[in-house]
Amino acid sequence: MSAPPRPTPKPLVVPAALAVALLALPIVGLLQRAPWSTLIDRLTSPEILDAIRVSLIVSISAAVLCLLLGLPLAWVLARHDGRWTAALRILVLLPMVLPPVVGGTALLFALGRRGLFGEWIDRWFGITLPFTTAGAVVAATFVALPFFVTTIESSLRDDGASLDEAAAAIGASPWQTFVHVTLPTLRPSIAAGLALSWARALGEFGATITVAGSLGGRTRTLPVETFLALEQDPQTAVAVSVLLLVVSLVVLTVLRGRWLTR
Amino acid sequence: MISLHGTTVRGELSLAIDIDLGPGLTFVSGPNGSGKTTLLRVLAGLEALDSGELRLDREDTGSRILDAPALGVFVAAHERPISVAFQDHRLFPRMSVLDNVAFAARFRGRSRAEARALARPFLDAVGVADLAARRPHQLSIGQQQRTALARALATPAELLLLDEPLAAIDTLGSDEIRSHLHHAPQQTTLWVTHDADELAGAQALISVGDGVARQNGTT
Amino acid sequence: MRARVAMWFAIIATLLFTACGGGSSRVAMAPSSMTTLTDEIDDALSSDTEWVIAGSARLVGQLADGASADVLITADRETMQSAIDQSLVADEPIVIAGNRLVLAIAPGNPGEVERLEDLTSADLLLGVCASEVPCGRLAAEAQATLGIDIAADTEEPNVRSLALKITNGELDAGLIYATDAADLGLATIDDSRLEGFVTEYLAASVRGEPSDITMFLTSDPGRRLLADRGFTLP
Repeated sequence: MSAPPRPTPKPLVVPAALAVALLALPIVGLLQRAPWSTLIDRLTSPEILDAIRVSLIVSISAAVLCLLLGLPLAWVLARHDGRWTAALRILVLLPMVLPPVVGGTALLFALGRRGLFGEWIDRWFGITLPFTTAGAVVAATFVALPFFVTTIESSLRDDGASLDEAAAAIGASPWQTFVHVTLPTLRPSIAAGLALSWARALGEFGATITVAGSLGGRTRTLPVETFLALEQDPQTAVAVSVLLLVVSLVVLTVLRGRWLTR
Repeated sequence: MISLHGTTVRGELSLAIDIDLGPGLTFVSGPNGSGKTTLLRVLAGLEALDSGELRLDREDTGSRILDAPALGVFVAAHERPISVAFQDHRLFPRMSVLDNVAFAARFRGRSRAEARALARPFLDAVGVADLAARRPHQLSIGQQQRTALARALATPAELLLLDEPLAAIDTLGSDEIRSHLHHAPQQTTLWVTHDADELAGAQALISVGDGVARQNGTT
Repeated sequence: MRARVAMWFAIIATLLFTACGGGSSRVAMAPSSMTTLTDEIDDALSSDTEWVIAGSARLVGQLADGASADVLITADRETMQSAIDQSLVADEPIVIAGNRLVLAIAPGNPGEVERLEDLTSADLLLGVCASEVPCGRLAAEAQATLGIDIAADTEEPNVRSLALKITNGELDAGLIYATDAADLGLATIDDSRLEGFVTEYLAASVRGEPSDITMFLTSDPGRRLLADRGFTLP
């Protein structure tokens, strides 16, 4: 593509520049406050290493859960149209706009020890989600799921149902079609959805602290550690923030590369 | 013998269908938008009848109803002994040409090697044997269409539906393929075409127009 | 069209300036545990107060980052000391109240907690504040002094979230402030050994002018209000 550069309408220039400033200045501010000389030491302290370990376990588990639960859901949403799917789609988007703390509280009301369903889960299986790593995973999955589902759904819609028809027309069952035709076609989107939902799960704070609380080595993730460090040791909080920022930038750059080359 | 008598309504288009297909090649003609593709889709099970009945009659196994709204019967597309070559090809993008054609045999329980061996003659028949390892996006439109045709031919079916299978293929190539199709065994085949030459030599013809698909009988 | 755009700009500009401008009222920085007092203090004083409510350390951080305020109240001595060390306050802080650590139990006492020693049981769901925040420091101090090792399932970032988790029964028990237990109506287990673990609330003027909030809180009505909400008095 070599379209001639199109002149930007003048009234758009200033607001666009302000938007860039709004997005970029906090990053500059963060980097300028970062304790560069002690960064490595701070990030390798036992507490932070513990938090990194918990964060990796929680965010990777959440991304895998997003894949296992979100892929089927995305398929259902992309291949059905109607009032119920419209309602379902709103339900899927809800965690994106809901304040995570509210989402976490709602999760507690449903799955907590005294929750609507949590009481039964506790009684039948002896599993309580609050204050466990599993609870942190559930909270992170809750907030990350919309990112995965919407990524996959839009890709499924782009491809349309035409390949499904082609497979059916030569006798492949819906399941064979899903496994041999749909899944391979979706591979790049699945990678993108996994990366996005993983990044969201990694940065998750509000729902996690509400559902799982904060205990070193079990539920204290990097964002929770950052929040606590702000109280006493802001420098370490900044160091962890820089780490999270770098990770996010890497993930988004890789994604962007994928989008550009598609 | 395949008998299809009924109507299907899809938005603006309402199509009354009244045909009985015997073995061999039957051409389908009609103006653009008249419902030729809809006819194929109803047969394939990609669209449902709104009234009437689609039946597959065979001497050995008897009669099988594929679609009859009044009886609440609808056999899903993949369970019908029917194979389709789409006008827009619809090749599976992540499979090689060979694997596209071998796909039908693969999920009918063949190993990868067996399915590929079964597929090769069909690649030969449509002239894409040398492209076996390519991916669909590396093919010209004509080559894609040949592959789509090979995929449909490679699928064991009692009814073969071809939607303008030669539209994107050059004259030389299409003559070859045409003679292959004309010499095909007694498989019931519906062939949608605009080509006057093809229609001129047609033994059996279905014309679609004015909301009706009906048999012209044999010439 | 042009007129409409201009009108929207005017409206947005007005809103922005109203939002950013701020009134001429006094600004008070107070720790989260004083949230329930602000209405009564407003009623007792004639002029308006703009309350900035956050964890004590965060309040001091805001001051260090250039926020302006008239009075700073912290929920512990260490945090006030850090404000003094950074020359963020103008006068010597005075102690206005104290807050006791109490053992609060969930409604209905599902964990059948009877005494402090029960908190060592791994079978119960128990919480304390994280050691980074004042109530957590106090809890850590209490555990060390009394030789009780609480089998905590969570170390919450603030006392309020801890108290709420006890209130809704997700936790069986936890060490929280008396004021939060009083505010949420939580039952507590009396144990005289906990009485020594009190955090002191200190108030200091930021600009040097004596604050009428401080004066009110040290007056008789102010002290009655504090006592009513579960604070101890100096």
